[in-house]
Amino acid sequence: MKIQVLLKKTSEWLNGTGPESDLVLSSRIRIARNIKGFRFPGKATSEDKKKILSIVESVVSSSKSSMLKGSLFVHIHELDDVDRQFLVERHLISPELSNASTGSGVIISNKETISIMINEEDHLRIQVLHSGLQLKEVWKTIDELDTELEKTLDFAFSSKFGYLTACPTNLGTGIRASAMLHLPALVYSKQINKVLHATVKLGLAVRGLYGEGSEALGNLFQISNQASLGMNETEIIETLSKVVRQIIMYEKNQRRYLINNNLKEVEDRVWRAYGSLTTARIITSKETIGLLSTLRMGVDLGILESHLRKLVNELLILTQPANLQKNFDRKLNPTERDIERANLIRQKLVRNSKAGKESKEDEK
Amino acid sequence: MEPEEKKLCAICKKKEAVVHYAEILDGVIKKLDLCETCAIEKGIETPTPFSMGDLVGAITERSEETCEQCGMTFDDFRKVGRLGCDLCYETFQESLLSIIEQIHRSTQHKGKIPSRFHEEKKKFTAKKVKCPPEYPVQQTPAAPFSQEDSDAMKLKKIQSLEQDLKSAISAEEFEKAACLRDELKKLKGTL
Ligand SMILES: [Zn+2]
Ligand SMILES: [Zn+2]
Repeated sequence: MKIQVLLKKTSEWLNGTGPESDLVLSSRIRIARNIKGFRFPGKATSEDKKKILSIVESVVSSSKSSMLKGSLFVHIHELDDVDRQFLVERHLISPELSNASTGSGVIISNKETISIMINEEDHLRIQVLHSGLQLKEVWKTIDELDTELEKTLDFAFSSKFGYLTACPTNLGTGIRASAMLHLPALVYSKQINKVLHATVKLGLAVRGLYGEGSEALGNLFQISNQASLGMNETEIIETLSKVVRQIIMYEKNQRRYLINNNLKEVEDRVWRAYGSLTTARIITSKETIGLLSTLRMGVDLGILESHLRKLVNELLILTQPANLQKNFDRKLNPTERDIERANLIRQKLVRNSKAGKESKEDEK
Repeated sequence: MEPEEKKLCAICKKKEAVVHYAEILDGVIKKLDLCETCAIEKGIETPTPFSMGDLVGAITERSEETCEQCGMTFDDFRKVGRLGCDLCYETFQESLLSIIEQIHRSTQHKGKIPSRFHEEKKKFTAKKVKCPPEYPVQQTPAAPFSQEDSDAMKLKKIQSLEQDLKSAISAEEFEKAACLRDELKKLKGTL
């Protein structure tokens, strides 16, 4: 299967670089676009969908834009369950697209920063994903890409409602911008509730990254805009950035407080997490996410070496069920998965044996 | 992780929960599943995801209106919360306005405009297009004719210009159309 090539590399957005990358894992923007005169995917015949898929594919493959060079073209119906889940776990397609039948596809750019979903809820869902807090840069990329595509594609647009989308919630700019934040200190100190309430009051949406509904496993929260009509793209992105900066400040204050007042307690947590991850023989994905979150906080607070950050990011994706199975190139039952997950984590972490700053101190 | 199932509202325990919200109490993350009414009462302004179907059903009237392009009726939309095609927005505009206002607190797009849309619009509205000599903007003639003759000539000219305008529009020659339209306006003004 051709998506195998993705396994060999790490998605660029997991680099752990970019502004505020200790607290902000990634910045993402997606825009919704539809082609004039065709029914939206939910109402389209499979013939229509196939036509749209091939139109978009030919436009992208004939584009001279360097952003799209070397892209991977994938048809969803040709993938098995594990491959579909694999793409969802890597944030390249939505869960909705993973359930699609004939006529749906995705185009994935060389570095996995761009993905163009075709015939999801709208004809096109274009997504750009970068590490750290860089929503402006992400918008610049996606704007350029959109302008490139609209040279040949006639997008459904009205001067009153803007870009016309299947669901009225995406009308106007068609934008959903989001930042994924790691907020362990706010959760630890029970301040998170207040922060999330305030965020929702400001018209933004909050959801946990992992877990059902809004349960936030691994202290990871996704903050995004709700309204897409009535404000322009820059205003939407600036509002979101402002609120995200504010939340970052709260989290940093809380971390400082923890270091000043509860250092031993925090160190204990971090080293216990490290101990569990490097010695466990069976581990669930839920437990893994929680421990990785603690490890990440250890890196941020200078308890663990900073080169571990990229590894923690990688493990967050690699230890999920489908990525794990792709790595083994066969289906694993849940118990086998928990064993192989523990093996993988030990391998990766032990290779980076010089994990801590404190261990040197202890040798003195 | 347990599978998602239909849940009842955690507060009134009567209506179906459509608003899902996380609250952290004593370090434990508690999931709150509420119905629309209880969520609003609790001051949670419907965070994501809320059900479009519910919202639409609550604030719009039933209607058999049908979209010509995709065959969707407004009642279909009330059930599924998704429109069928771009033309639906024109067909159901009246009924959609209140929903759009409710979601976005606005009903007017502000932001990016596709360049081809932009250009078409510019071609149509451009006031100072330089018209080529074969479509000169008629000056009031320095009349070697009587008033009657001149009016008859103008009418004839108007007729032929209107013909040209029609074919210019259907050929999408918008610049030419704009010139012809300006000329027509001026001519009609002198009658
Ligand atoms: Zn209720
Ligand atoms: Zn329609």
